[in-house]
Amino acid sequence: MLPDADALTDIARNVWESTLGFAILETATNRAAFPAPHLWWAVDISGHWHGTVLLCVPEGTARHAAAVTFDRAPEQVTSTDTADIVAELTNMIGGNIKGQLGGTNKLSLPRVASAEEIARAEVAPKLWFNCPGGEFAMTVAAGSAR
Amino acid sequence: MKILIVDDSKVTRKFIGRCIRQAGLGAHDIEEAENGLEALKRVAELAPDLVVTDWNMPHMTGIDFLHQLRSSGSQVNVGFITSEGTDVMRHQAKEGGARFFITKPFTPESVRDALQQVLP
Repeated sequence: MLPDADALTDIARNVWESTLGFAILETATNRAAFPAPHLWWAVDISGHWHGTVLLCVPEGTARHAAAVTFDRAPEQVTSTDTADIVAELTNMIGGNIKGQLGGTNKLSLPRVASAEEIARAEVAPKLWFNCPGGEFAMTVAAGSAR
Repeated sequence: MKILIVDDSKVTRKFIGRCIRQAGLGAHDIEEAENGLEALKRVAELAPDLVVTDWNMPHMTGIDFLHQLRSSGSQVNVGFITSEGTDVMRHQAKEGGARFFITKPFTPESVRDALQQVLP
């Protein structure tokens, strides 16, 4: 069974704070999308439960996170760095969600979300968080989102 | 002492290396590999004292890497740091001879506690 919103928030907070070393604050749900550009990454869970965890991180937020991680100035961060950090955060959050699901499940490698997934996720309920460098959102789509 | 970190994510390799240093174990030489295939070569070249590996990686999973390592005759200490931590995976890791199993996200304290069981 999919963890409830509070549990999902705790997972995101724990991953973000433990990994990047700064606190995040849940803000609202059902907000409009971010101003572009942003990075959408996904991991799929399949088995007893089937679905996709999607993370939407504005480019500025990802740049800040990568700068902290790689000890660089934000302007020195590359697109590869931002993709790598968002991919790994998505992977960790997905892995922790998988750990709370019952039964046997598999976790995919993190991947860039498809245009179709993004279109669906943009209108789906999302958990939104404020963090240093900006904000980000997370959503979990039950069933096959691809 | 040499520690080989195996993870397809550059970010995670960076995090683990940082945690090792923050845990007061920074005097060890830290080497990296991007996947299990590369890690098998690096183990043969470097003869590390410890291999810290992810589970969910392209080309070869961490547990397959561990099995191949043992099949090659290597008895190097191996531990997992991975996003997933089911009982089945922990059991497989233990059966394969892994010395520890840490679930991401991890802290310098959890890394230190695990590594201190292995490193002299």
